[in-house]
Amino acid sequence: MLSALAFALSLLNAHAQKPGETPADVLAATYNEAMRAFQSGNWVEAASGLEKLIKLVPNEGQAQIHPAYLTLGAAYYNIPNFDKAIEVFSGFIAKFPNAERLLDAKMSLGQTYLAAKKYDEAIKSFAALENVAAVRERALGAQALCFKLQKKPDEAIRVLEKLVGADIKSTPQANGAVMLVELYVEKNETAKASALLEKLQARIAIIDNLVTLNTVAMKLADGFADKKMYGEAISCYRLIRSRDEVIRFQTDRIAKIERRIDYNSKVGPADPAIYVKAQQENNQLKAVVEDSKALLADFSKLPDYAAPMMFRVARCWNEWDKKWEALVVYKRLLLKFPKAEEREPVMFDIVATLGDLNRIKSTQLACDAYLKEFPNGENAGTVGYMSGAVALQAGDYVGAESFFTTMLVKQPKSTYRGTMMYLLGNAKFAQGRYDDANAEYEKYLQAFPEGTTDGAAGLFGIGGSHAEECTFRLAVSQVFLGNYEKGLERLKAYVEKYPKGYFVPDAKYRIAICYYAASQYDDVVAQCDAWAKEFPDDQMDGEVHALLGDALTALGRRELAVPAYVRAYKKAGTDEVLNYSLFEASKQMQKLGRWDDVGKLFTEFVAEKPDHPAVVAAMYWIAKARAKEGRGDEAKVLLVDNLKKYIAEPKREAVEQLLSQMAQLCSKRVRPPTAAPATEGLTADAPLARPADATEPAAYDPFAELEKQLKPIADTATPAIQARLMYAQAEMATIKKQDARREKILREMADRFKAEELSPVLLALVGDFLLEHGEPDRAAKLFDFMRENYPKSDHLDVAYVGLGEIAFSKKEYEKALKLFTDALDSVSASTMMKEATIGKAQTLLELGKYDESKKLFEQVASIREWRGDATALAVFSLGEIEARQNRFPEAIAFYRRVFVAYQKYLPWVAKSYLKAADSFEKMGKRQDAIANLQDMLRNEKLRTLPESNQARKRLEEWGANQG
Amino acid sequence: MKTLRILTLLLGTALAARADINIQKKDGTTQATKALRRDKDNIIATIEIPPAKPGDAVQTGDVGIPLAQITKIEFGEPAALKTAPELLITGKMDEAMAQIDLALKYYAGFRDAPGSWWADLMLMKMNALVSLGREKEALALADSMSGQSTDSESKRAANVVLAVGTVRKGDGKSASEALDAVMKDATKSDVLASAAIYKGQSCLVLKDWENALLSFLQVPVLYPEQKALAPASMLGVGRAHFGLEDFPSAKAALKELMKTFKGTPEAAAAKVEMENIAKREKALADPTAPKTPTAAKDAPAEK
Repeated sequence: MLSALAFALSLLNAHAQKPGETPADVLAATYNEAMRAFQSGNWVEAASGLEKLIKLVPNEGQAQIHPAYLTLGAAYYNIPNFDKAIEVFSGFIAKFPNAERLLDAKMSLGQTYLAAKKYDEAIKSFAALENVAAVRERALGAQALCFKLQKKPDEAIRVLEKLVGADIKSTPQANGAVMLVELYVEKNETAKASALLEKLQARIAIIDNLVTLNTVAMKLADGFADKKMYGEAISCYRLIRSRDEVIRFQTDRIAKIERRIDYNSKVGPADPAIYVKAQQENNQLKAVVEDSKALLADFSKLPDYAAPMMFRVARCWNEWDKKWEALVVYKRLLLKFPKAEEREPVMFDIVATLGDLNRIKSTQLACDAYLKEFPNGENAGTVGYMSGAVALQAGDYVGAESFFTTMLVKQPKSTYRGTMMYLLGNAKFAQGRYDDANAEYEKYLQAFPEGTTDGAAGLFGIGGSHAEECTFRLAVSQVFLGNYEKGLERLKAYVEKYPKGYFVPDAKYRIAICYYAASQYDDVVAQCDAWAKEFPDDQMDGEVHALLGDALTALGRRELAVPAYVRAYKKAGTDEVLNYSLFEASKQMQKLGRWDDVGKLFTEFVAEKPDHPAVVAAMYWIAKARAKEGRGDEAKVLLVDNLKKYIAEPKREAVEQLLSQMAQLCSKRVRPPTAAPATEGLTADAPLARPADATEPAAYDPFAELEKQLKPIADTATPAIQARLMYAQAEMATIKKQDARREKILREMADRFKAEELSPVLLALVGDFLLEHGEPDRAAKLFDFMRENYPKSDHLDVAYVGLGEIAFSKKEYEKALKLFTDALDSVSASTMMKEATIGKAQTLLELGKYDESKKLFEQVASIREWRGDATALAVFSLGEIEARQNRFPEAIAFYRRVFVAYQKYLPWVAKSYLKAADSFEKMGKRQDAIANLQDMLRNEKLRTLPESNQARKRLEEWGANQG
Repeated sequence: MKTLRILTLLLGTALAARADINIQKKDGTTQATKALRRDKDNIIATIEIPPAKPGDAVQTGDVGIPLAQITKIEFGEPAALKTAPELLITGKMDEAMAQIDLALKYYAGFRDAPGSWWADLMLMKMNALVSLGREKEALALADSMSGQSTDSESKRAANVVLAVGTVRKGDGKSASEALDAVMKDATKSDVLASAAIYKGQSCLVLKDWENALLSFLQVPVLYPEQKALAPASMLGVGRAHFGLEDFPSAKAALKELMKTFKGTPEAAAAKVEMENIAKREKALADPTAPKTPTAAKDAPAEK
């Protein structure tokens, strides 16, 4: 510019010159004044000065001062006087088509049109520049902006797509991409928006305005969520930067621009062109900083959106039916934002989600957590209700009772009050506490006589009206309580009140039961017949015909009872009814001596239900029927045929039953059938009659016979089958009372076969054998294998009890308690109930839980079927419980009960004597202790027991004689 | 304000980021560098000496910056952190390992420099070793990393892998506690995601299926960018569902793993797991002997 001024001097119009001034002075002064004004932002003065300067230079010198035009245009732009700026820039372009800074002028013209809202002209100007590499991106960006401001999104999109291209490399591209995402969102082109947004995330460093990008991403994500496009919504939410991140980013950007301003400020006026450019840039940058700071300030005032956004993400997962994923986010939200406003709905959502996932225990814990934190929360009523409902659903009736009771007190105005009252009754009902349950049902009916209680129709499928069911339960509970008369009365009242009620078939069946209880069997028969006519397709048909069978049996009409039972098993809705009826039918047939029919009954059953679990047991009865008919060889053939079919399936636990039967059949020589007529008293296990004219046969080897029968199976037997065949031999040894042989066989089985080669029955048998023989670790391996692989075995409790005993012996009492408890409560098998109960009681004793232990030992002592060694142990242990609580007289009473009432069980008697002596000693009654031990030593049967030596030693220590 | 927005758009190019490595110093200044090397406790930076005024020629020179004066060196993310996961999830373990090792070699000199990617690469390598069953090597690296690291996040990364040793010893409880401590304070996605995986594994040991599942799912839900951990996560998800006896979900996760991450060690493990599920399903579905018949008339009312 300075050189241009020098040239211009020579052309200076003389009349502008003041006296004493040289032309150069005038020109320089005018220029400097204008530039000073420009530098200080005095645009009007700058424009005026530059206009003056331009006028001072004649036409032929104008080309030399052309940069002044651009400064002049910039001054007008900044005033703002866009018309004048347009005039200047247009003039420049027309006047100086070959000027070095023509491009700047063209860009500035376009920019001024844009600022003047003359969008068409601006677009035209920028469009002309979009092929010039140096300004292409800026020209496209500006064009797009014009279209956007003209509300022509399609045009804006077209231009922006051109700008953004395939790869975002520059800030103008990134800024354009942000605008493009916005436009895509507006146009509902969500897929494109989402893809571009993702691309932008990778180039975050070159984006100018993260606030806008975040806003767009949020809008897009919400849009996806509204459209139930959850995956896309979550992806978009993920792209949203945290508030801190945005603030940090924007602050950095501002700092960078400010550094640039600082750099530009250092440019001196030595080179006016560079100087003006730097000044222009700074003016623009200052505006950018101002704008960015304002945006940042606004953004900083906004509350943190992280928690609400995370909540939206969690809800997306949840509504997408990805419940576990939703839980991950809910839990993270609670952890990261413990004080978030969303905490209450989040905690409620966790409850509901866990409920949906059927995670009962976790739901209950979540309910507890919610209610602890929000006892009066918006969803407290529902959570309170759910806490009980899930417990009920899980079969935790005690827990359900506790929850509902608490909730009814805590939330007397809950929406679900009625349903909770009804369910509280059900929880008590399920515990068999019918009187308590009835009290709840009565309360319910009093509060809601019409039954309509709340709007909880959807919750857990429990409707809102329970009056009918309460009435029915009130009636049926009387039947369960044995109050048949009262039950009958109430059942009839129910049927009268609800003649079309849901429970009418059940009620009428229960009415018949009441008559059965009153031994009015003819009435039962009449009612069952009527029932069958009234409800021909009802699911209770099986139960009703089983009852009919029972009534006919009671009337001695066995011939008629048989078809009733047969129909009952065929129509049975549950395995329980099926098994009962099938085996009752068989029993009646046996009593009638119709062994042929027994065979037919089970043959038909097998044909009809070949996959039923009872099939192998049915085979047993078919074979037994054959044997009873004197067709022992046929029975053996049948057994072998079925063994061939099922022996390779370890889960068919009745296979061992068939093998036992085979051993039984082979244990004696088969006799020809007897001609004796069937009698009423004949039972299934009655010995086979021997023909009168039989001659003594040759020596018979049952083991050889068994081996011969099973040979067709043994020939191709796998190790698993070989193990089962050995079991048959062990059974034979048991039948023949050859204990040593049995022991040898079991030892061989234990050593020869791997766990996976043993069926559940054999795992239980061999595991128990090893445990008895002091090999707990080997036993544990078998039991563990059984637990893992045969969770439905009928012998599974053997594994639990065995493992419990092993844990107990290692003093791992907590573990033992869990195993024994599982054996009793969680495992459906019940072959070891006595051992499990004793194990649990002993473990509780060791854990110092005396009350619970006492209760169980009392139970053991009171069960008639367990009478014997277990009773002696239980009474001794009751003494132990007292002694450990220093209640020695009570302890002694129990010990005495052992050596008085259970003399047969010598080890317990000996232990009791010793313990009684201990108690006397602790009470300070040594003489009584001595007398007690002397009494023990007088009992000859105890002399060989180790406890006798202990007694002698103690007497010696006390200086007493041995009695 | 609209005018200002227009100018922002037009000035963008001038503000574009440069590819140089910047060093942020504790005095608040930033030093742009062309190249870096380590010399004892100093970072030797090759820098451009800015011209005294616009238009002057640019010169370069070396300057030593004490490590203690550096807030952060803005290293660009090493390519291996992007490419190695892709190789890992396609079962190209050796190739992935070679790439990670190469990157580690460069960053070894800047191991303790703030902004270094050494810890990230180390964690990726250790995770890959665990996935390959080369846990001893992983644990040895973690042990040395724990000793060498000066920043707490790197120490956490080492602790995450050290917890694997505890998990493998069967002490799920201690491992779980250690990982909880990491997850409480960690900030980096790779550390958090790795901790989630091993926490899931420790929960599996404890047969705490629910928490195992929630831990494994953290990777796809919260840290989907940690692609290298996706197979381990999916395997864990399958195993946890198996533990919960949700066989369809377990099978779906494992099938997806075998299909998506074919060739990975986790896909091979998934195959075995599928067989275990089949066995378990059979164990639960096979017929059992009939129960002892009981009197039908005493059965409670069924609704």
